[in-house]
Amino acid sequence: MVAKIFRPILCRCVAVVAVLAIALGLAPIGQAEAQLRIEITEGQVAPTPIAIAEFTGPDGNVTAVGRQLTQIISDDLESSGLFRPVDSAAFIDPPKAPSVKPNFANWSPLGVKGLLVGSAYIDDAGMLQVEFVLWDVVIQRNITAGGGNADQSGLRRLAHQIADFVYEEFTGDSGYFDTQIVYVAESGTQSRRLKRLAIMDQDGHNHRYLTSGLDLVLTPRFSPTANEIAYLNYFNDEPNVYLFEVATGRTERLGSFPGMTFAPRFGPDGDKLIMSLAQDGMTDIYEMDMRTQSINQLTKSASIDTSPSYAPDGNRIVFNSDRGGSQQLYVMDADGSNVRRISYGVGRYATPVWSPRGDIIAFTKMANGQFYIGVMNVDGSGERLLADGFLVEGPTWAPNGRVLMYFKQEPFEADGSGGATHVYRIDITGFNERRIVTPSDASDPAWSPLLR
Amino acid sequence: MNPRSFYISIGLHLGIVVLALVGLPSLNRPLPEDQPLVMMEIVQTVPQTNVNEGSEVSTAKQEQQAAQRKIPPPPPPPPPKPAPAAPKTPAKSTPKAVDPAAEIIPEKIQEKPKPAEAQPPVPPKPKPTQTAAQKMPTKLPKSPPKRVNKLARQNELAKQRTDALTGVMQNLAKAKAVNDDAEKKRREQERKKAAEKLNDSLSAAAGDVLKAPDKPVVGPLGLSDIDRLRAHLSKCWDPPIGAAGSDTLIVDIIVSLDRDGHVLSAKVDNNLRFNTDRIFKVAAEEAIRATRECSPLPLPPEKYEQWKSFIFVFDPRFLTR
Repeated sequence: MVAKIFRPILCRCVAVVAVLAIALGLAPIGQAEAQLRIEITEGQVAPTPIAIAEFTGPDGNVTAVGRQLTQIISDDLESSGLFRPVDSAAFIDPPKAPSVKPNFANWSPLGVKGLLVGSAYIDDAGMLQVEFVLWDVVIQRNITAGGGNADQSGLRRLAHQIADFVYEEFTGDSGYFDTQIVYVAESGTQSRRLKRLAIMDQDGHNHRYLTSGLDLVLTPRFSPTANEIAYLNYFNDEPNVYLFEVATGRTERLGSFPGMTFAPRFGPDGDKLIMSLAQDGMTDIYEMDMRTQSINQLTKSASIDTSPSYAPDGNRIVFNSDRGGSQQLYVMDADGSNVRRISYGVGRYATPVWSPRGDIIAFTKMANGQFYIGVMNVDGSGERLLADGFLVEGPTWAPNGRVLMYFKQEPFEADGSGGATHVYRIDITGFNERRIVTPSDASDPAWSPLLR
Repeated sequence: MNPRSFYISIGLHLGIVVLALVGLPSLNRPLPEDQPLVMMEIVQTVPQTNVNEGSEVSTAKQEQQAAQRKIPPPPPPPPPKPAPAAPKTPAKSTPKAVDPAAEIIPEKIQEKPKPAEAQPPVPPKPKPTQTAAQKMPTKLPKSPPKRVNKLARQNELAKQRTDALTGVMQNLAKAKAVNDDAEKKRREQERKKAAEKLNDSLSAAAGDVLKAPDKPVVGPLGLSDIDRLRAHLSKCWDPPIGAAGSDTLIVDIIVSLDRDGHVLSAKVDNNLRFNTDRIFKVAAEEAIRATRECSPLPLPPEKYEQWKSFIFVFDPRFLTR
């Protein structure tokens, strides 16, 4: 009680903060002594059960677009590994409209925590109209509501956005369903490999190729607006960093330097790009101003410095270097100063990527004849390996920093077959891993920011 | 000149010369030669004899090293007391008695303890001496029997040396005993600390539970009651898996119940954080949901006064452990 009275004063009077902090600190202790405290130190490490009712039309009947929409939302949430959509066949009283408050007595027996109700139909103008309400079945209140319209081709994106709403309300983190993946689509034999840029929604839909395959392409990376893709292109067998404009399909070589450029990655604001430039037998990290295309050298060593990645605040850069003998991860300030090694485990480390959340760094590790995808804290502590295989490589973060995508190559058989390459997704707990279906072999995925 | 006297003179002179040649150097030579030889052999033989003792290899090694460092002290003993040393040896140094008959046994005993005790010797130059000592034993069993006959004298000297060294050994043994005692004490202390920690954690887990019954007159809420309640609630709680900083998302929910265990209200204790920290808010909402979903709570009705209002602490740190 005392704590409550003090709290508003605490907010205003900075000078008294210390004294009040003590008072606040004591208040809960007093309460704790007076009241029994029971610690719950275990819970269900299982997906949250949720009911998603098929979206209805104005007449209260389920519409075709409603069914489609509901299916996409359900698939998104289920694929995250954090939700378990309950089979709609179990619904006692399917809701007719989002505006009507559901009878919670009909939903709590299903053991669900949330209930998503909505409407979706094509109006007279041919536009898709969508509304939804998310209910908390346990506390019996509405959590969030929303609506929108789009032309019918926007159905999938609307569904992904609604799934993001649900995800946010139950996790506190922003969702990642309304995103895209750019990757390298591979086809042909191992000796004559065709590599093209391809783009798709994060769930594998809306797949299309961006480049023809005449030139070999590698390591595509989204800009922070998702409007451009920087990638490595072998033109006349000379590798250089190019820029691809998603809306127009226009490509452009970035800068013109003697030597080759590779491993590009955008800065958090999109005004800068970092990459490696190999020149006179030296490979160092450079930063490029995207407007002027002028470059600024950040590392200067006889070793190979590559795979740079900015921290989300843009103040630091993680990269890998063999300056210490073997390939390891290093962190430096954005101006190239204050370089320090962070990886000290067994084996080699490569392709570090700073989490958009800022708290961890994902990497590829090679040790004991195996490849691993792992994460570590930014100071190099707390290393955890999430996935392993004959060849796993190239982690990329979902915009909320909770999920990683990477590619995995199966081992080759004696007869030369095998070696299939696919893109996988795994959450940072390492529990929930699944393959993203692509029309052909796929490598080097890069996750876009939220589209919006 | 009388030839006879001449021959006698020559004979006598020759005798003197021979005496001078043979006797004088012999008086000088053996003494200096023996002493340095003995001194040299001390270092070499001490390990052999000590190794034969086999009972405590570690002390033997420490002696070797001590002997090597303290080479000056050993020289005095050998020459002065050869006789008394011999009688003592059978009693003290078992190795020699063992030597002829049971060579194999000490050998085995010695070889086994070594690997285990190879670590303890602290001295600065452990590697060369250890390896030397480890190699020695394999050769030793062959050499002693040969030498027993030939080098009886040296054995005696060695016995004396061992006698001299027994002092060192005893010191070392004492030191070791002291170390052992210290270790024992440390272990006991560690055990005590561990026990205290256990008690602390136990009381931390159940302390409040134990404190609570102070006030009510009815029997206290037992651990089994608490355990049942916790198990019941953990079935309803979806902890924040994979959330950023999930180990800080510890939520206190103030719960009040009616006599049937139905949750009347469930509120977050930390309103400030609830209103400012989005992830905490979600975690707190889930904690409230879990409390509500689990209603009614399984609690003994006769102890209602104790549990009509309490705090649930939802602690998700088990996720990151």
